[in-house]
Amino acid sequence: MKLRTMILALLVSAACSKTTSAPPAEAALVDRDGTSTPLRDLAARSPYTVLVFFTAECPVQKAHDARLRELVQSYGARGVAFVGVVSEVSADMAAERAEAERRGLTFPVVEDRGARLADALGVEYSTHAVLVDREGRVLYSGGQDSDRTSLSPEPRAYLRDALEDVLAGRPVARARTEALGCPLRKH
Amino acid sequence: MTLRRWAPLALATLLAFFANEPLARAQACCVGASGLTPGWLANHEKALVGAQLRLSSTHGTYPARGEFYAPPPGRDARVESTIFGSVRFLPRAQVSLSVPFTVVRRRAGATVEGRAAFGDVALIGRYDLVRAGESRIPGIALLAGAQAPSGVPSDRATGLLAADATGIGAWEASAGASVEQTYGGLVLHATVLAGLRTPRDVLGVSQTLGPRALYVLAGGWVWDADIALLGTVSHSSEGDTSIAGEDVPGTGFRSTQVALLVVATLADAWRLRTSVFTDVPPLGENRPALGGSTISLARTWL
Repeated sequence: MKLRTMILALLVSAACSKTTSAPPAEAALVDRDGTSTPLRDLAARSPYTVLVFFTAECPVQKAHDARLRELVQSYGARGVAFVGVVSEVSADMAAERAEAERRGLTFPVVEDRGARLADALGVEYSTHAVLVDREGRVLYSGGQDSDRTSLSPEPRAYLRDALEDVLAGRPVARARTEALGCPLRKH
Repeated sequence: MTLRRWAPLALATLLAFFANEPLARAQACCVGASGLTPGWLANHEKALVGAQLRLSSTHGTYPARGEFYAPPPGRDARVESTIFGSVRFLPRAQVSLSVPFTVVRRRAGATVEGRAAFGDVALIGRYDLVRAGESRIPGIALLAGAQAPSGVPSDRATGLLAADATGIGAWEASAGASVEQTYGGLVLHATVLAGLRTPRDVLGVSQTLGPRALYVLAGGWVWDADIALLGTVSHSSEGDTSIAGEDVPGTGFRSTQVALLVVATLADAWRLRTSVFTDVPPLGENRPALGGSTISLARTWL
């Protein structure tokens, strides 16, 4: 009987797993000092902010480190802020930050406690990138590019294209793509 | 009966172990235990087609209620090729079709026979209630399948040694579940599958093969380059056959097999899988003991 109840609960949970992509302005992100900042305030600091859902151990993220560093360098100079977001339930934040720094990912890494932000944005995999404007509106959500662990010479550069669009004042041509990273252990 | 009694307990034990909080940490990416079965789609994969070559030979036999015998009284060399394809039709649901074609060279004393024939075509679906790695709850998948009698059953095989017997001659419906979890590069997996067969006429008499059960335990390591080394232990059994409504004792079988697999993802688009396997005592009964290897190559689409 208990097994039947558990299976039923899992079925319901799977059926309801699609979450909304409404901007979760109230979701709070915790920085290195333990300060909790609502996404709304974080987004207000720059014209555009890229939230990169980060898991240090994920091989897909490791494969994309160089490309991400290059994006941070290129678009940071054009006023775009990058923030690493760790949403995993069992994450060791000190280790995640240390590993990001060791790999030259110089952006701040914040904790998404309870994976509220990831859930609100429907993020299921690490490497997922979400581009928001100063008001916290989601302009792009999806993969950094079309590659997984094996990098092709000419990937579809989803995030770069989205950044070019917004910086040129155009609507983002491809606002939703699939992120090909590792499953985020959120709960 | 054994399956019905032990499966819930085994499942609950595995769930409790896999959900162990201190073990819960970040995850492997892609191939995971999907490499256990060549047709399963890994994370992000939308479809695949592939082929497998399986070479095996007998290295002994388990008679009914008896000890392991080696060398065997006869010897089979089997070459089985299987074409398979899978497609994801919902984010968490996939279906896989396999079409086997078998070449058998069978020897008993001075008699040698070689035959080739299609085997039983199988269709199996999988629904991931929870994906491995996405929660402290282990990945849980429901499995359901059907197998068509497209092969040659032993009563319709030709020759003295029935080397072209490649099927069971009946439809089979199967259902089961698998549990899987990842802990960094470590992957643990368990599957339970049970199958029931339809009755059929054999020489004018109704015959029903006994229910089939398959249990698989697997574990291994996945490296960052998406190369996995996996070890498996699988046990399969079939209940006694029923003839004209009466169970015939001693007609069922059991076999236990261990295997070592290497699965490599190449350029995110190809999956190469190779394995060596052997039947092992003592859990064999009424069955030849096989050993061999497989190699498969699949083209995948993200």
